[in-house]
Amino acid sequence: MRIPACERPCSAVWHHWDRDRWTPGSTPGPLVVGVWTEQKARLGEDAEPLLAHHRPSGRGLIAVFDGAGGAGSASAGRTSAGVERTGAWVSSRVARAATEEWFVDAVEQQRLEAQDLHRTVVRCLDYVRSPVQCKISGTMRRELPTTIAALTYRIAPGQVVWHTLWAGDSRCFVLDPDGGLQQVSRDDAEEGDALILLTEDPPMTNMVSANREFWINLEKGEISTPCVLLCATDGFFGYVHTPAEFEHVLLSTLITATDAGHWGDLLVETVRSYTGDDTSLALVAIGFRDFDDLRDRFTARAQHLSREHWAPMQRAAGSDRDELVTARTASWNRYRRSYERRMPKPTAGGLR
Amino acid sequence: MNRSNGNLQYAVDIVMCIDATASMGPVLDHVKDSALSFHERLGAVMGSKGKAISQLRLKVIAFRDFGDCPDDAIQQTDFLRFPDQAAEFERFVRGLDAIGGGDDPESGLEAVALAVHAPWERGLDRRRHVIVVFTDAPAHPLGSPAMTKIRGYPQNVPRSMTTLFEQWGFRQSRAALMENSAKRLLLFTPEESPWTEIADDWNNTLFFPSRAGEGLEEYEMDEIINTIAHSL
Repeated sequence: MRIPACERPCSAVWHHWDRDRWTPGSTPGPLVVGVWTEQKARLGEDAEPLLAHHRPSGRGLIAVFDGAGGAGSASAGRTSAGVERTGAWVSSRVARAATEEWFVDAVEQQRLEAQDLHRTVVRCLDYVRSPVQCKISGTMRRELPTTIAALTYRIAPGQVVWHTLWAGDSRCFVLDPDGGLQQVSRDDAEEGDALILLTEDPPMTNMVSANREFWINLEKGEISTPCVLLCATDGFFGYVHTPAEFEHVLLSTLITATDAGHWGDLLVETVRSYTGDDTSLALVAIGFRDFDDLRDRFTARAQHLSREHWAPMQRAAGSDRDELVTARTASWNRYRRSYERRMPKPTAGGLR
Repeated sequence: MNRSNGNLQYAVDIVMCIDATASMGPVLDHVKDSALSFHERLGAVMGSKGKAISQLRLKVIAFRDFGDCPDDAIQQTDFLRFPDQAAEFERFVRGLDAIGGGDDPESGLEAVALAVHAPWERGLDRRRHVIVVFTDAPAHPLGSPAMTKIRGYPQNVPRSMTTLFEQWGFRQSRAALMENSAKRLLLFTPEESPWTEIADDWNNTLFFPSRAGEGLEEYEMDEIINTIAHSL
C-alpha cells in the first residue's frame, strides 16, 4: 500500500501506523511520519522522504535526499510545462528512486548490501546524465549532486537492529526517551563538531554525484524498543541555534500533538518558522502502544530540554552576540556527551 | 511554536580581482556592470530564499602588469561595507580604464595573492570569503626575479606558486590564511596556465572559461551568484 500525502502549498506530510497485525504481547507495528517543505513552490531540491516497510520480514527503510544547490545550481533542463529544473532537483529524485529500487530488490532477496546501493545510484545517475558537457568546472563543481541519509531497520523482539548509509551532510539519528537524540551518522565534512558544523556550515568532502567518485558510508547498531529512528536534511537541523534545539523541535511538537498527522503538521509549521532551506524528515517510531504512549514517554525529556537548553538560549537571544555565543557553547557542552554517544568515528571513506 | 533564525549571522566578503589591461577594453564595461550589480543581485537571490546577509563587504583589486608599468600595476580599495559605501565602490569601479599591460601574461597571480592576504571578517557565523577573478590573460609565474625586484612590488606576495597554494590552504594545512569553511574562488579566466591548474588543484573553486573579447554571459553571472547564495 502507498501512504497518501497530506499536501499543502510548499509542504507535505505522510503518516501511517501499521497496527493491523499487532497482537497483544508482540512488538507493536511501526508508526512512520514523513515531512517535506520547500522554500519556493515547485522548486524544492529535497526529494520527498522515503518511508518503506516490508511486513513479512519486519524490515524497513527511511531515507532523505538533499540536492546540493551550491554545487548543482546549473540547469538540468525544463519540464514539459516549462519549469526549469536544476541538477540538484533532479539528482535528489533520482537518488530517491534508486534507493527505493535497491531496497525493494534487496529485501525480497534478503540481501541488504551497501555496495548494491552504490551501484544502483551510480547506474541511475548515469542514465539521466546529460551527454552535453557543461563548460563550467572547478573542484566545487558537481554534476547531479545530492546527499543521501538512509536507515534500514529490522524489528526483533525488544530491540531494533539498524544500518545507516549516507553520503554528505544529511543525518541519521536514534531517539529514545532516556538518552534523547543521538546522531548515528557522521557528516562528510572536515569538521566533526556539531556546533561548529552549525555555525560555519563547511563544504562537504563527499556527496553523491554523476561526475566524481563518491562513497556511501555504512554503520550499524542496535537499540532496545521503544525508540524512534529518523533521518533529516540540514534544513531541519542546520538553522537552529544549538544542536539541542533540533531535539527540542522534535519533542516540543510531539508533546503538543494530538496524533501523528498533527505532529507532522506541527513539524512543518515549526521548521518553516526558522529554516532557510528546503527540508525533509523521515521517522519511524517502534514499540509504542499508541500515540499517547509515544507522547507520554517523551514528555519528561521534552521538559528537560526546555529547561536546560531552550530557555537559556531564549534568554540569551535578546542580549549581545558575546552572551549568545557563550550560551550556545554552554548548551553544547552539556548536550554533546549524550548526542555523540553513538556517533561513528571518523574514517577515510566508506564504500566506493 | 515559531522560532527565529535571526541569531545566525551571515557575513559575506567578496574580493573582485579585475584585469584592467588594454586587452580587456571590449569587455571591461561589462565586467564593471557585473561588479556594480553584484551585491543587489546577490541580495535578491538571498531574499528569495528567505535569508538576509547580515554584513556584506566588497573589495576591488584591479591589476595590470608589473613588467609593463609598476606604477599602475595594482589599484585597490579597502573592504567597503554595503550599502553604506556603495557610492565609493561605484566611483572606484567606474574609474577603471582598460589601459597598458603590454603583452600577455599579466599580474593576475599577484592580485590573487593580495586577495588571500585581505583582512577577511573573522567574527559572526557562517562566513563566506569569496575571491572572483576576471581576466582574459594568463599570469606571470610568482617569484621571477624580474618581477620581485621591481620597485613597488608587494612584499607580501609569495615567491612561489607552492607557497600561494599553502596560503590558500587545503585539508588540515597549517599555513593557510584563508578559512577552509568560508573560502570560495570563482575564476572567469582563459583555459591557460596558471588558471586551469588552480581550478583543478585548489579546493572550493569554480572555473568559467573566458575568451579574449568575450564578456561574462548573464547566465554565468547568475550561476556565480547562485553558487554563493546556495552555499550560505
